[in-house]
Amino acid sequence: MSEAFTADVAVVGAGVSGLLVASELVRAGRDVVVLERGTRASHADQLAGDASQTPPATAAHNDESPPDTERYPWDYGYAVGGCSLRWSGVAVRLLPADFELRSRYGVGRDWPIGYGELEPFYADAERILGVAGGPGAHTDQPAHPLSPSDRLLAERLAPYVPVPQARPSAERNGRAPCTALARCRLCPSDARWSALHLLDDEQLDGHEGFRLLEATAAARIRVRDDHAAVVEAVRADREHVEVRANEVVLAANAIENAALLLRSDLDDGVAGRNLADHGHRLLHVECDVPTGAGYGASVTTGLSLAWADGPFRAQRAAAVLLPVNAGVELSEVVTAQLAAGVRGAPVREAARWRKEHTLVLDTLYEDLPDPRHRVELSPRRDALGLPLNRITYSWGGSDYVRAAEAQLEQDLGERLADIGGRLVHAAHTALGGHQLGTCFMGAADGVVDAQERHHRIANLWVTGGSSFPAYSAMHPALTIAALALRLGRRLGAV
Amino acid sequence: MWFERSIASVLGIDEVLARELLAVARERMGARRLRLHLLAFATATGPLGRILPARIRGRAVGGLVGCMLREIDEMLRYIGAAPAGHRGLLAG
Repeated sequence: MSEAFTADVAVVGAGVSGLLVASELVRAGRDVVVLERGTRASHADQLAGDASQTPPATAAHNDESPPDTERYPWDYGYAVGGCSLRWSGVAVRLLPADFELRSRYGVGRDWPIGYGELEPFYADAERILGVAGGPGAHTDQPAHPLSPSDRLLAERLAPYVPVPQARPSAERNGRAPCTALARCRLCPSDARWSALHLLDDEQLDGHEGFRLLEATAAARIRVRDDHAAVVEAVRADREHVEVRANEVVLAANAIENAALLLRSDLDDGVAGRNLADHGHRLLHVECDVPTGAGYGASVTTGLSLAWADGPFRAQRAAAVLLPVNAGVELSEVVTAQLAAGVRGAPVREAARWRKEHTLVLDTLYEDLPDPRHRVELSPRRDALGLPLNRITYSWGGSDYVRAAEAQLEQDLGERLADIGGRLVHAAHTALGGHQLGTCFMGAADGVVDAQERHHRIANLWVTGGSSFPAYSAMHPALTIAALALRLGRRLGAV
Repeated sequence: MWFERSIASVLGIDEVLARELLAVARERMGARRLRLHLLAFATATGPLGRILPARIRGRAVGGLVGCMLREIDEMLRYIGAAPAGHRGLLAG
């Protein structure tokens, strides 16, 4: 059995990109069919734990590492809302220089578009996501206040700004503002923006031009005469689905977008290459003065741009630094004390001192594109009969990143010398949540052009983190949203 | 209860706070798992624990401690600091 649908536009993926593209198209009067491998769980269902504890068959991860290599902890899931269901809400813009890495510093790649091209879409994305403290000066959503740790560091690590976050500081669209419980990955009050909000706020649910096919995995794009004619999909019950559309938009994550191109024999020698994730390095810095750790309106509230840009990027990576307001995990401190045989008041006193005098700093680094980091198709198949995504990726950092880490840590000691700041612990943390690259925008060498149109298939568009030609040190979510708005408006105007 | 007194003594806190933190842990892991963790904790921090390798002692106590001191407010209460509060912080 197979079921057939027709639409003006078929969108693959119902995450941030897919639903933003769809909402723009529906507003422009287009008929849209969105295919999503996962299912939909309301915010209440997520809080009840149903969404994470009983995933449908289609929600199982379908990736593997090459034999004899360690699996990288990619963090994504299949669901309506995608990764926006469990992100921290950091919504920063890239810097103008991030688009011109090659021109300015002779390394990496330039984006085929500049900051100015994306600026109006950044502003709109900040409005739609309810970003508090965005540079677009949204008067209804002021920035969250800097935490005590931020205030200790602001001058020492200048330039230092409040983190723009998709956590409204004032009531918005009938939702209460952020309650500052610092549990942003699954917001207790649904204040932190998720793509599910679009279904309500943009009135997509029930709109005659919008159809969402849940538990339906896009398997392949059937191409005829360099034209994407049909999206072939398979449901969790193995029933086949076909969607015929004038335009096809791939709006899944960087791994799935690439895999779908590969399954459609649209490798073209580039698709799937240059996969990236931000390298995090967590630093513990003990100080002679109280750091204020343990307090703040969110997981992070301040952002140091001291290492975000400069001529140094010719030799070493850009980095951003965000204090983790919660500070050290006391369970680790207490456990270590008890394991060492300490008992009673000294355990608590050690914990108190560590909590009050330790800054925990999250640092993120850009890296240069590496075509060896890639997505391929495995000979093994998943529960739906689709090839597993074989992902070659390792995090140890390139020389470009390691040079940046060493410099930042040296600078940190100097900048914090007056408060006795000393680095006592540094460790890489692979989070796997920022999947980037694989279908990058390029004038001629990329998978898609500056408009995110496939170089060979004129009615095929690829958007999301997969389009990034270079990665910046900044969190990518807002740029992903801006790219989706730009593409949605372009297609809606055709 | 003996284990509340024991936990309070080992962690250097009063019994009231020990009881409250244990209630949080019970809610997270359930009564049955909590009993197992309490047994492991008592063993590792008692006389028998002295002959256990530090790594084993750490694992034995870590399960309970990690569940008692997970959220920021629990950590702050443990060290005797003011609770973080919620909306108040947003005002600055």
